[in-house]
Amino acid sequence: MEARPTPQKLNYRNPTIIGLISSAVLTALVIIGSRNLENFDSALFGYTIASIVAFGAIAFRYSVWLQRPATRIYFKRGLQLFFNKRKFAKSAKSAATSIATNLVEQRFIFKRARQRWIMHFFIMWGCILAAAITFPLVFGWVHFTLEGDMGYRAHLFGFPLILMNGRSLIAWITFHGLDISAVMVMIGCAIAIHRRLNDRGAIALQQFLLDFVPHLLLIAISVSGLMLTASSLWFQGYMYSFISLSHQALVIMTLFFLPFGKLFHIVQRPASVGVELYQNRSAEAEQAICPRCRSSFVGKMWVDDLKKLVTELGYDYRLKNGHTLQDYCPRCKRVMRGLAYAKAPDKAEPVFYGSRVGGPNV
Amino acid sequence: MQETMFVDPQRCIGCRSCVAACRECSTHKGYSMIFVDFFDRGETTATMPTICMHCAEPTCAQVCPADAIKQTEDGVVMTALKPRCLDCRNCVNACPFGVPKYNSAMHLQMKCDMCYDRSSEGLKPMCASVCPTGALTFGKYEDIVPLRRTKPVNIHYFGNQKVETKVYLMMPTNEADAIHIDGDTEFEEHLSAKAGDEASWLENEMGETDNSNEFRS
Amino acid sequence: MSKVENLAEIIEKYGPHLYDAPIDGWHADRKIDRAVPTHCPYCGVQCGMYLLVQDEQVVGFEPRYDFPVNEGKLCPKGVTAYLQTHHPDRLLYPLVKKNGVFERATWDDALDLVVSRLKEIQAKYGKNSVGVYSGSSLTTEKTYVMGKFARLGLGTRYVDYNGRLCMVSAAAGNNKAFGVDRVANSWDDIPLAEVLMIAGSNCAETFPILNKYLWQQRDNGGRWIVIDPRATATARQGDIHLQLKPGTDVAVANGLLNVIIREGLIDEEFISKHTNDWDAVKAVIGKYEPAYAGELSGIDPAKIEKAAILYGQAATGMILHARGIEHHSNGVDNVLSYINIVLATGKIGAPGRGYGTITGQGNGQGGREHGQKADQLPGQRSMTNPEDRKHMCEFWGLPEDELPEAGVSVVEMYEKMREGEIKALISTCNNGMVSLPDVNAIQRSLEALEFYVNIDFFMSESSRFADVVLPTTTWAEDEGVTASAEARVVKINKAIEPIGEAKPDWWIAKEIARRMGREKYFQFDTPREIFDELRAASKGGKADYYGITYEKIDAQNGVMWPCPTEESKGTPRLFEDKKFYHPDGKAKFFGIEYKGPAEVPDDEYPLALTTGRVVYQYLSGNQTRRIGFLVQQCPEPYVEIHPETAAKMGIADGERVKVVSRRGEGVFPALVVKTIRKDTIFIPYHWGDAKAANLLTNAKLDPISKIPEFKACAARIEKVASRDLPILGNSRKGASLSEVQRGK
Repeated sequence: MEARPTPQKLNYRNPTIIGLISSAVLTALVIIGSRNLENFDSALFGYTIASIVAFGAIAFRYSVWLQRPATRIYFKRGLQLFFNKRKFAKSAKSAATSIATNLVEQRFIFKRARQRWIMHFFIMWGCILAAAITFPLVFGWVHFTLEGDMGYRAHLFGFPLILMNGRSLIAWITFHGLDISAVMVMIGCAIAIHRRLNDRGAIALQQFLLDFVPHLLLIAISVSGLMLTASSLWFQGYMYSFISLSHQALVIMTLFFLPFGKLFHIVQRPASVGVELYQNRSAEAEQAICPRCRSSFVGKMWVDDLKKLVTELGYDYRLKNGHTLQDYCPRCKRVMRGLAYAKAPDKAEPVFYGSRVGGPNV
Repeated sequence: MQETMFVDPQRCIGCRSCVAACRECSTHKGYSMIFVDFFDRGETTATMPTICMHCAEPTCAQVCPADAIKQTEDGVVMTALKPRCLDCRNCVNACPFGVPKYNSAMHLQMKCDMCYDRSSEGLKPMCASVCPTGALTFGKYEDIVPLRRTKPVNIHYFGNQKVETKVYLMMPTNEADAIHIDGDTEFEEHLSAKAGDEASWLENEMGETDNSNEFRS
Repeated sequence: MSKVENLAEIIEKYGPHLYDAPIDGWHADRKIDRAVPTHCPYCGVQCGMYLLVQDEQVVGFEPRYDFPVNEGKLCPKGVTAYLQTHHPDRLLYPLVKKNGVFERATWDDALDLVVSRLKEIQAKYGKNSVGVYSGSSLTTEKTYVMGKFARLGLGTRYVDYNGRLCMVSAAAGNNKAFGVDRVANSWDDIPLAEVLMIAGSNCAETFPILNKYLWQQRDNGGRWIVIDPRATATARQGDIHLQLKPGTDVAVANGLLNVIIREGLIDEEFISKHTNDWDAVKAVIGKYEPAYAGELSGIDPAKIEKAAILYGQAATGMILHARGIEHHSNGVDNVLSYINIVLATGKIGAPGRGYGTITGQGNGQGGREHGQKADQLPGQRSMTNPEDRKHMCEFWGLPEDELPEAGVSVVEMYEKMREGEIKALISTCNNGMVSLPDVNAIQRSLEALEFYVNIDFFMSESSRFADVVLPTTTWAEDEGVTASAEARVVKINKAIEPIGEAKPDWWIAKEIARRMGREKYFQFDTPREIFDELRAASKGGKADYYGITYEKIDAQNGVMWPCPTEESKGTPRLFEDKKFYHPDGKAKFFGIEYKGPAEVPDDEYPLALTTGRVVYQYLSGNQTRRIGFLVQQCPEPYVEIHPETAAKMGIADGERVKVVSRRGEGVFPALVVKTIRKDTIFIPYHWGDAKAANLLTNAKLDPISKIPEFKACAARIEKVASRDLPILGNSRKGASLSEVQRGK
């Protein structure tokens, strides 16, 4: 009669295929985007390979993640609701709002703590800036040519773009974009590490590999990147190749770290758009009524999905009265458990009434 | 961690000292994770204190789409990892004990982590530190149990579902090895049949009937 | 004329406002500069706690596991106590009322005004036209100073303290029976008692930490007999609950003793060797057979028998009581009738055998020992005893004719204000507009004053009437000792400097006295100097503090008086040698006849109204009604009604009903609960203005202790038209908060 959750059997075949396909697609894009490697800088070969492998690994990991029953339900429901034709406009608007507040503005992090939001702002936008600059360059999607004394022309996928004056502010920003991003990331990571060294809650919970290593890697990448700039600008390329190799090694380590640790949230977080859509829709639709207190506490669709999920996970929370435990609101679950406790002892000694000696109260 | 929590609802005087003190722990500063619910104020002053029971195989972690709820090596089920939690609230409604709370503005589930900042260093969690009667007690099994006349039980049956927990419930009878929860018909012998239909306004006013476990603030 | 004008502005400016976080918010990354060991500012358990100080601000607390009484435990008031120190409502500078508006003043201006007005009034109406009303939440040093200030500083006989509303009936009863006013045992005896008889005390709500000892007793296999009109949390957890009609305690106690005698469970040897007047008891007790006692008190006689036999047969046992039996016009009788049971069974002066009142206020014990009581001089000496008067005058260097006569109790003082005998009042550490009975009459008293000085750290309902409000310190900003309900003298330590311009009460009293030209009697600059004077003053008295020093308190976690010598470690258990404090060393029985409360239900007012506390609020609520967490748990007073009574009147749970007594009326939401007697209603009393339970209560005093009858009067309930409720939860019903917000 005992029900126990069945350990989830993960299927690795499909994720492997998805991972390999992802890597292959990216390889193809690199070849096409760089005009058959014409614009590809062979010095960046290591980065390219690492990126392709990491991309495949992330796709693999994402696919494995989607195999979690809970994730799968949200994923399916999210898509289903989003592509519901009658409400598409509404869903699109809801999704756009979610993207703006959750992914861009990140108001929820601000609510967690202002300092945290500042920290995350610097790290996130620093990394996005750096990624936006480096990946196209590495993949040979963007390259620059010298025109005249001071003119640089950028090329995207081999197509020529605007000509910039090399002494203009825009050019300075463009060429120092990575330095700016490095500084941003370092500021953010410094705040994060400062918090992790001082906040007693964080100290109690953090693990070195999960919570410090990502920050240390990001700082190391930023520092070595800045050292490259410094070496070429002020020290006539002193130790440039060594620094460059170190930088490459650090970046590759970080890329390989992406699917596993804290950094996986970068690809995972956008799922909150789907979750929010699901919740908004569920709040509008029919509500589940707690069979005990008669309050409506969540959407019915949600509870039904949750019950299916719990069953699929191997739990059996069906009660004798025909309800499932998840039908009850959290408070009634707590009270019901208390009442079961009150019923446990000998009836002559009711736990929650006085007068254990002798009969009921006056 | 050799210590664990022992919950003895019989002793609870409903003072909610634990609820106030819970906010003082560093892992969830300013947020209280404990519930003290009236059974039915119209019938009795009895209250039920609920903390996370720290299941051996936590349902909350299983139903989490983001895999955000982790167990420590010593069996403490932690609050959702902040970078991962998507605020989907599956855990809130799947938990058989009604424990996890959520804060939508923060996109975060929060739950009792046994004051990990304190308990991992051998200090009592705040709730167990302040609880006047010992309804919430923290300590080693061999230290606490001999002092009590109640029987420690760490197995719940919800219908057929067996749930084993790190935290012990102190049963007032020696006959039971587990506690069985089987729906709301259980209590009719003890409380009037109408009970539960309508909570006392006092419970309402105290926010006791905020059935969704949402943080107010 | 002390009138409240501009009430809305006063509340706007001085609160109560809710505040629920440390001054700079919740932070987990604090660098704590120091953790100051101290005690809770609230009730008589005086739980130990550490206050955490950062940048000279109190920012949190930490359990004090090594303090033996509470071992880190705290009730919700204690947990949130630290939030009051930096509360935005704190009074930070002296206020002088001009044209009905409080204006900021300097200390010099405010004190000069106070002194000139007092001098003027005393010159016109005589010395006794000024009254001093003090409190028992002050440290013992301050209570000593307040008594001395009134008599030596102002030369008035009229001084009293709010312990008068607390346990004076117990004090009087103890003095009559044992010759001393102190709980007879330390709480360490509780777990050793086979049976506890708890009369009129919902200690689950009023002394939560005491429940630690109660449950230790239970873990040892002990039983509880709980005597209370309501099935409180304490009664629920007990074994036998005697749910009596309010005010019928004598009938119950006599009924119990009747059975104990009948069953031969008395200790004849103890009675004959160590007591007097047993015959007086025997003479009256015969008729209180269980049937009769049960009829008077509304209890099943079989339960009275069971309880009596349970207590009588037990080898060890303790009787504990609190306000429930003391707040009566026959409070002393109630107390003595229980003491009769203790003495008849000889359960006193041994491990697990004892008796005591559970004193309410933080320094309820200390505050009634050193001379701020109307009839008392330091060391529990008497104002009316010529030897005691002489002793103190010599000690103080005061000409004997300058020491005024004994004064009157506070309720009588307020009467004298109405009658015009007292023209000016200085009050500190109390809030009569909430805590005194018949608030309408209290208001008339304050309005009749020519000059009213109120000392407090928050603007209380009473402060609003004042002409001058002087800001004082919270407990975290000064040091001193208190004596807990087990007579354990503990030390409150100073965590931070006073906030704003606030000054400790002793400084204020000293400054007024100095400006009155009485400087020579107030030669101290620190609490330690006051304590040393107090120790010496108490030497030879019953409450002998001479051997207590700050250092000894620290070293042994408190000292229980009497502690007459420097070698003495104090006296945790009294009467171990079966010697009582009467001259012949014997305890005294009193034959007590049942009289009942002064006002009993009749056709016009058919219900018995009793009042009491909730765990979330402290006394008049001036401190706790400002802490968000506490207010959220219990936002307003309510009236508890039994469902059958409610059904008869068609009253639904949560409906607002009007409660009317002969003194006044108030509108309260009905809390329909089966935990109260059908003929009784209950209102918690911590609120003021229109929500004051004391609008209804009876100011009838006990003839001996002068305690008012808070716990029993006649009342009726009327339906009112509006069912509107300020329910916070209602707006959220059926939806989560964020969903409601989204909907808006």
